[in-house]
Amino acid sequence: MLSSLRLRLTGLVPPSLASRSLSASPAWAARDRFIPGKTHGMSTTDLRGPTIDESDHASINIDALARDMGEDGSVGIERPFERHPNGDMAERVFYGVKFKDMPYVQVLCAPNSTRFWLRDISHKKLLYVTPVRLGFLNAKRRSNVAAQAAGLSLGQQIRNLNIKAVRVKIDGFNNGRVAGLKGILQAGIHIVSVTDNSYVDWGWRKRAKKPKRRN
Amino acid sequence: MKLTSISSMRYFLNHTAHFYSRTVMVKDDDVDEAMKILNGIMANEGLLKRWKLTRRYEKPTWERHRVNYERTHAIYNEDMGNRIQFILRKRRTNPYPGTN
Repeated sequence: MLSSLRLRLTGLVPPSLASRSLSASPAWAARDRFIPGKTHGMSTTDLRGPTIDESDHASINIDALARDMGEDGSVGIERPFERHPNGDMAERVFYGVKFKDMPYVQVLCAPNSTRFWLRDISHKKLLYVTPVRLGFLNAKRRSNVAAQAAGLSLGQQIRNLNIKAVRVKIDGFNNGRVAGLKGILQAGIHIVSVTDNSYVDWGWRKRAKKPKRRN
Repeated sequence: MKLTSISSMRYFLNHTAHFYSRTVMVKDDDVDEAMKILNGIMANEGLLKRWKLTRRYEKPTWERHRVNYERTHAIYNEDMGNRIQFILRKRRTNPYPGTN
């Protein structure tokens, strides 16, 4: 299961090129479009792996882990909690993954719906969840219940990819702004940081709709 | 990276330091506390107010009225603050002169 180690042992890949990471089931990294009859290799169902939570596999960076290990080999030195990401927060390890290598959940809080994407560090889309796919139609989409249900569904799908912790990026303000995050926590995913990415226009680059009539 | 739609452009237009600016770390999965701090930051920086204003187009004449009101409001607040500080300046034996 140690793919990099196996590559090094075969002698085909020099140590400099083999990535210094333990990655037992990088299913989310290898998930590409599968066309039956044309795509050669494992299908997405095969890549997903056998079970969901019985394996403890995670993508761990050896250098970061070695730096955080104690003298007696204990893992996970207690670092003081910092509320804001200053200094070397990008290099800090959370749940076995560096902060800068962690996949993130993008939450779009639209006026009529709350949508969720899971993206990896190269901004590639891994998952997409909307309340409509769960049965919330029309006006029900914009409720906080719909957002929480969508967050829960996303969290469950994230667990299927063996991801333990995510960062969150929120765009917009609506009823489901916090409810969506609650749903993700409900599924058992750890949220490491919350970012606001709302688009604030200071110059009317995109002219908005005309105001509603007030009779 | 190929930018195909305005929604993907929105990702890059707002702020350059991703996961650095407007970011709050979550302690022990306490998302409520983190969101409180984040919303507070958004309000203090004036971003929330501006976002609300941009939901519908604000005509230039309304914008001028609002800006002028805000300016006069700020001048009044500053002046009143100065007066209050002036009156509070002196140390007196009776801190409330004019009362029994």
